[in-house]
Amino acid sequence: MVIIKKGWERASLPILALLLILGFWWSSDFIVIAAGVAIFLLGMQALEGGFRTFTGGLLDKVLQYSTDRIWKSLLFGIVSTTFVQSSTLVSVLSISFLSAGLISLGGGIGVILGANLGTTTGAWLIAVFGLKTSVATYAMPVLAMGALLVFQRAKVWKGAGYILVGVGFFFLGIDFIKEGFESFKSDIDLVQFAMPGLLGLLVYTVVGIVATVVMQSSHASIVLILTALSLDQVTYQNSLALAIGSNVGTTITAMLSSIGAQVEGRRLAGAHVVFNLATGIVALVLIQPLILAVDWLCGVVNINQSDYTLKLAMFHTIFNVLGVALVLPFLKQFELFLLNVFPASTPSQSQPVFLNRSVAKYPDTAIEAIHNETERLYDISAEIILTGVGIQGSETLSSYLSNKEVSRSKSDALISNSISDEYTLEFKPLYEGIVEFICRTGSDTTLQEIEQMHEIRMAGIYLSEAIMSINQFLENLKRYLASKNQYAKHEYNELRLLVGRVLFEIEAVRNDSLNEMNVLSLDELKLMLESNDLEKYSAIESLIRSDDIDASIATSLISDSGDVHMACKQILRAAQILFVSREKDVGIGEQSMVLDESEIRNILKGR
Amino acid sequence: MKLKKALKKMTEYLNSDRRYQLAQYDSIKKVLKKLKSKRNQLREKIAFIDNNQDEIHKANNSDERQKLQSKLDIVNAQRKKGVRLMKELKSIREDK
Repeated sequence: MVIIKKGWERASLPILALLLILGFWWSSDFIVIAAGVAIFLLGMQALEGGFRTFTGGLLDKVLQYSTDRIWKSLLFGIVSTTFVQSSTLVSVLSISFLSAGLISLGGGIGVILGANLGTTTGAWLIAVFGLKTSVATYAMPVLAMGALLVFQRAKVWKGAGYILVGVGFFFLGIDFIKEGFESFKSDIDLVQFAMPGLLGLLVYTVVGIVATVVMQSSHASIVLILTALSLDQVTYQNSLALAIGSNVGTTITAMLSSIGAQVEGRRLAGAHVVFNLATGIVALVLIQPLILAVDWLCGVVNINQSDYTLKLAMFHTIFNVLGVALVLPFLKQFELFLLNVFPASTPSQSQPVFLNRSVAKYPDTAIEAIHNETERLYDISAEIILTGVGIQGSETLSSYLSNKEVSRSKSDALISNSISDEYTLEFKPLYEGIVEFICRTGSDTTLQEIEQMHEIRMAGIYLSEAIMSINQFLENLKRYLASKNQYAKHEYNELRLLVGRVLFEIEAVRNDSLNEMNVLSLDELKLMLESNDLEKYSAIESLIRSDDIDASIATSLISDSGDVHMACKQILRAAQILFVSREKDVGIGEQSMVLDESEIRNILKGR
Repeated sequence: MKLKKALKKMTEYLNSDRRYQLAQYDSIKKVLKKLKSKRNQLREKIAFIDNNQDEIHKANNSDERQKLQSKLDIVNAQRKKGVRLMKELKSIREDK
């Protein structure tokens, strides 16, 4: 797939440029039509960009909370696509969100179905306003106003400017296309190429698919079809086939954007393709009954039977509604089918799972993916550290808390000499992946979002420092656990158990769904660590005084105790960043109220 | 006057820094409320231990009391920090 995508990207530019040049040479009116399409596409792009800036991620936020029920996701798809007039934007957004794990596959399918319905409003908008009135007169002041705002510094005004420029170009483009077709009509009558019957249906469907794939916009195809139809440059029957083709062709953008995505994203793109293709086939098979239904419905809502542009808009709506109605009862089966066709792969532990190009498109999904990936990094670090100090496997987490199971496994055979290999092979590749992803996700992000990413990156640094500190401690740990000096052995075992305790208690707090302030609870562990640090130092002093350990052991113990406490503090710091409440209304407050080292020391001083 | 107020609110909403500060203020307020109830629970537990001292469980009770006291110290420090931050955020809001 990636090869096809790259091949298409390389070959498309010269092929399309050549076709355009041939078109310009063939007819001067073609230049006007092509310019109209170009202006229209630029308008769509400006509109999309404007909504992204203007909403400041509003669309993204609404998407997160409106996909827990199928009707909600369907409604979101309809409303958002109607609003931004781009089903591509909404489908690409859903693919990103699904890849980042923010929405479910069912929710994503709902959004895609809704977007298909929402996109039909575009045909009505063009048929009613774009073709019936001379919108260019209104488009020009809107365009001038928009350009004025685009050059403003404030992000909001800039966003509003892009929306106005988008609307202006949108209608100006339609006007150019209309003008081009009108002059074109006097030179060449395209109706002479009309094809009746089944062959016409199939050929024009393919033409619709190709045109939409080339322009990567079903809206642009629909505007061309409607304009040609309004000027009798294409027959009504053939225009219906073109509309069906444009509906199938529009899936190509979602398909291309899913290539870099995770399997979840590919599933959703697959859903988009299957749904639109099935709807297209059903529409082709039921073309005659659908035409009759359009005539009947137009009669009901008082649309003139000779007004073919409005009839086409009606057809576009009906066949999309029909498609949704056919799929909705089998949504669960549809989901299962996609799960079977795109099975989940098991990636290597050290490779990023959540980071990919599709989540990098939106700050919210990018931050969520970085967060999830850094949580994986935390798990890897905990495993490396626990294995290093001889505490095997995560199944001992709960047993440690209940009956101190680990204290029985004192055997020095379990202790590693070094964890630098594990660090290089398991931790570093994932950490590098996260850092690289953060560096590449820079545009379109607000200061707060950059700060959020920076903070998550700090968690990675803390984890890396924790592993390094533990690594320095391991050689002496192994040595003194095998020592004949019982006091030294005991003190080193205590340090080893302290590491386990900190990791296990963090895990317990992390999994405690009843505790709403997990991150703040971890301050208790910080206090314990600080007081343990002081106690350890006085314990070592008393052991020296009583000649239970010599100066050599004492200096090693002091230095290793420092390393272990440092490692534990860094692990805690990382945990307080990563396990903060994901609910923003609580999370921001929690994070700002976490106590720092000096505040913890003040508590100890006050005792 | 109403228009002035509405304009102020709109500017506040559109300014992302401002929006963040408002969210932080509200969030701290919520967390402080939760911490207050946690503090009261801890105080009740400590008072219960203090009022029910028997000779048999004295050592255990002392350990438990110490643990609860540590938790209470933490909650008090967190609340103090939260209140200070809220005051700061409020003064920034009024300055603007």
